[in-house]
Amino acid sequence: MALLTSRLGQWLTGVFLLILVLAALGATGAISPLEDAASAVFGPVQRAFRQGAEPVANLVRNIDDFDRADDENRALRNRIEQLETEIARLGEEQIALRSRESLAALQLANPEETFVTAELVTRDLTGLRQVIGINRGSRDGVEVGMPVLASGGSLVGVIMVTRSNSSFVRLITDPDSSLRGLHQQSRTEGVISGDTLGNLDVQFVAQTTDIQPGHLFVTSGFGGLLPGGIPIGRVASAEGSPQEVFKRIRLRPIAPLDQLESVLIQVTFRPEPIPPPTEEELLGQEAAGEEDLTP
Amino acid sequence: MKWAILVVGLLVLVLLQTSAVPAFEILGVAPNILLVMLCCWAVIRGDSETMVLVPVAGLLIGLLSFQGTAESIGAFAPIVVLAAFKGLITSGVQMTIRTEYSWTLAIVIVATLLHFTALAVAIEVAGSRIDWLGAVTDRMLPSVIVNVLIGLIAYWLVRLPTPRAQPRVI
Repeated sequence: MALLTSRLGQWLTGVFLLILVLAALGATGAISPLEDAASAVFGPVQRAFRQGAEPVANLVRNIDDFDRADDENRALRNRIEQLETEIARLGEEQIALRSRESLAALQLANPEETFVTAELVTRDLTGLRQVIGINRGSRDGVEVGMPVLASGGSLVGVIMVTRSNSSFVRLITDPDSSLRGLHQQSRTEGVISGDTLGNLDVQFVAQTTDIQPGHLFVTSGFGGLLPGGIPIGRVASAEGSPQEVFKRIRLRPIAPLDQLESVLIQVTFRPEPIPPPTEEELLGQEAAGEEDLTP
Repeated sequence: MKWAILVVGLLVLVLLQTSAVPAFEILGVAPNILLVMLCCWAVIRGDSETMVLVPVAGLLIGLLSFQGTAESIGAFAPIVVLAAFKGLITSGVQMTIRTEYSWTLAIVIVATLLHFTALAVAIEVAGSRIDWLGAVTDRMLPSVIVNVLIGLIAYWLVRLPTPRAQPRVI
């Protein structure tokens, strides 16, 4: 017993020290070359395993409905997503034309955007985070903050970590994801965030806003972190009593986040956060305002 | 030679866990075949091999997934402690298959709970939000059920090729 205890004690001490060393290496980025090498060597194997397992997984998923062919299902999903994107695009164009918001129209119709296709390699293993690993990295021009879209053009997430030949994407349903979304019909802005269970909620939308199930939320483009007009999700439910200040809105993501196999990275977009005004700028503005008011 | 085979086998398990396994969700969660196999290994083969396999498994998972290496090793470490605890209690007792099977499943349950808790705490410490109630009801408890179901089969995958210890002749 004493021998076992001492062996276990030595092992626990060793593991504790190893954890400390690895945590320090991880924090300083010293472990990145090893991670790069591992993903370079084993990434293709992971992808092959995943592709090999996908038909079996689909069979298991559709085990109670053999009549429905999986290919047809996939094609229909893709078609629906494309149509949703087309509807969103047309809606955005219509509104932009009506209100002469040429910036939004330019963004939507910008032919100069370049996309890099990436395949899914891995997912978060615990389900506590909504993160996916893809097989494109800084070597392919991928940078942190770039938007990631599904094949139909709807928003999947944002690049959060890059390695030389792989990256990790924070999905829009991740607890740490927080986007500025726009209700397409009313042009009301809200904050769209995920949670631990993979839900997608909209916050800070006034109770008086007319929001119905089926309505669309797109990226607002405000703040410079994402391009505007990318479809995010359709309203699944919008609730709230008159006493509440904000509506409780839940979205259904348009991108098939559970069944992603490949994604598009918009590599021509670089997030440029607009910094808040400095104290000096604010004071300068106030002074100018006072001067204007002076008769 | 034995260690080379063990590490290669472990690598294959890690590659499966990080690629193919998440496609097979049951009750909304993916089984953790790596954790289950390590639990079975710890109970059936003892802690000497597990003490090496657990850190290697954590390191490989850390390198090939989004989880960090340190948190992965920390999340697997309770398996060794639980196996040692079981060794203390059953020391000198010749276990029947039924008892060993029960111990394995019990360790799978506790190890899954501790694994999730360790990773959730690591996520919180890193500054992310965790909805603990939702995490317990929608992720942790279904994972326990799914891992136990996998454990029912995985036990035999380790048990059958492993010779049983003979009772000591006094």
